[in-house]
Amino acid sequence: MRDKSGNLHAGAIVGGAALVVALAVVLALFGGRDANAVEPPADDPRVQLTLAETPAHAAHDLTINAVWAERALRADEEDQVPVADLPVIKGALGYAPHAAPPVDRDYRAHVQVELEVVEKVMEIADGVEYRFWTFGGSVPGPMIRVREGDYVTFTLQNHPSSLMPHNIDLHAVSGQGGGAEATLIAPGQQATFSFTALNPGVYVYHCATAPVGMHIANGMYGLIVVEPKEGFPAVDREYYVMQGDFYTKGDFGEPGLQEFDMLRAIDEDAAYVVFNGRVGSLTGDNAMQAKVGETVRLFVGNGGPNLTSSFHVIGDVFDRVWLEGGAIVNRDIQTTLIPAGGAAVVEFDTNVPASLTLVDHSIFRAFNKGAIGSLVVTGEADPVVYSGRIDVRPYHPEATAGY
Amino acid sequence: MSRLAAALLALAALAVAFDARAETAHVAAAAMVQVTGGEVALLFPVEGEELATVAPFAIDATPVTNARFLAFVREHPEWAKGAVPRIFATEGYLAHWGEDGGLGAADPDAPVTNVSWFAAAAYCEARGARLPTEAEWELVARAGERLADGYLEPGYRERVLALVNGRAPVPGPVGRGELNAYGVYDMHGLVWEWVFDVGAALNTADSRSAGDRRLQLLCGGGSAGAADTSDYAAFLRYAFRSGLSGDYAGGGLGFRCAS
Ligand SMILES: [Cu+2]
Repeated sequence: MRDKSGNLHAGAIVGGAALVVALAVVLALFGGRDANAVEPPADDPRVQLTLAETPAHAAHDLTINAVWAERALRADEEDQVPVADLPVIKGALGYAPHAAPPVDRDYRAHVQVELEVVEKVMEIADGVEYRFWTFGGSVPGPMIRVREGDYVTFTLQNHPSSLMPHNIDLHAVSGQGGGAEATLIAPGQQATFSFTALNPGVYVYHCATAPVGMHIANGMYGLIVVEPKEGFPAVDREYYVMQGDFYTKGDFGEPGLQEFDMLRAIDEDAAYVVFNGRVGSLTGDNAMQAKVGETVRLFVGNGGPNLTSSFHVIGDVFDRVWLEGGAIVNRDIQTTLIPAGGAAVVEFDTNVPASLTLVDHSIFRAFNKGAIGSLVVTGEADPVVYSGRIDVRPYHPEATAGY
Repeated sequence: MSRLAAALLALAALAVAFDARAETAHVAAAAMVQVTGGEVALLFPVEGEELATVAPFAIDATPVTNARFLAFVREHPEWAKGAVPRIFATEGYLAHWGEDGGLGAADPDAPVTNVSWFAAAAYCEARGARLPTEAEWELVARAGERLADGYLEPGYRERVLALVNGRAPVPGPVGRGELNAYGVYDMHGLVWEWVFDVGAALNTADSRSAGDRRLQLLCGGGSAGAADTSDYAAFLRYAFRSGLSGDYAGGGLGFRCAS
């Protein structure tokens, strides 16, 4: 597909286009329609889904769908620019709960990213310490954000104070181990490799050094967002949330420095299930903020190592979910599954003031293991959308009501 | 091999070690412990060679200390801090020692660290010894507190993993930590240790099995083919060795000699 200078081969594009045309022909034949018909008939249920009656949503969805549908057929001129001629820029990072800033570019770039691995003791809950292994000194590691087609030079540094070797597997990378083989480094070393961000989407990265489960269980994961060439639609707020499960010798809340419990990890018996590496990382003073009438986008990842998240926000509906961080946008979703080693983008328009609660709706994890966060929406109430309590009074059912 | 032959071999090995020590008395050798040898299951065995046979050998009861390595450096100034060519040791070589080439603030009784494979091998050679092979080292590491096969002792895997995870950032003196069934100290609780055949990192190009092993250690599916997937401490050791090159000099890595 691409030669060594990073250029797309015209042949591959023509081949891809031919494949798409062939598929269209097959579809048209089996669907009993004229292969030359560009516009699907108006009574096609898929069209009705897209052109839903709510104008704001419809416009948003139409943009997204049109963009993704056209993608395979476009032969972008920008892909022909040799890597050596690309502007070199430093990759911006975002530390949870703050997303990395939008790419805001309409051209390819050579993006340089540096990430440092640090092993450090931090609190996993008030009064409970844990020896985390981290990317960038935080759990999750910083969000990396690039644009589809970018040529990325990635440098991983293992701090000299580390006890362990580490590496990185970026799920956005096509290549051996997602970069894992190229980046395995002992403490006090650094390693560099480069890749082209071929696929847009939201991807997990994690350490992949044996025993992999232990490195992930100790907090070594984060997200890399590869924005589609057109970018994500602009929103008012973006946040970065990542779930993870932790396996400590002591049970939830047992104070002091807690050791990793291997048997517990193998049994998938998590002591903690948390957002952003800590009980309370998104509650109280740490709660995320928004105003009524804004659109909020959450980049939600799940580092695992074991548990699939039933991600839910109490008190609102996801107006749009980019399923599994990929190209399909679903609408009007209550709970979205986020697999270990996977991600999703959820968006909602805030309608009324409320304290929204992020949970893993596998609900004992929320109430007993820490998987809870807050997003406080302030602004004008709208009693038509939500009234609040109108009335309260004693209730006396009829004695004859079947008892 | 008959018992008699083994005993004779062990005696011979002892005699060699003794001679070497007499020759280089200034590099006071650590007490060595005799290991009868046997069969050891490596974490990623070559197919058909699930058990590596290890002949009887002797191994240092403790890691080599800063004090002992300083004595060696005084005798062999080509291995002094600042004198070693970069191809034999990265710039971190003996970084924890003083600028004058003495120990500085380093604990004389702590394991020497920030030593490259080349420097460690030179030290052992000067003692008439050598670095232990990976199979030898793993055989000793596998010992429990009472039994040569630690897997037969309840809690062995968790105990060893806790020892590795509980290491201090700066290692303390040798010979005060865990003692195993062979009478060998500090196999897990102080530092990583160099082995003679450090593994995949030094021979990926011409060893198919080593290359496979390296991939197994790096990928999520990496436990396929591993002898025991719940020996996490063993995974940590093998992964650490996979990341090494012979010039590496790091703060958590020391060595001991064998003969
Ligand atoms: Cu790691």
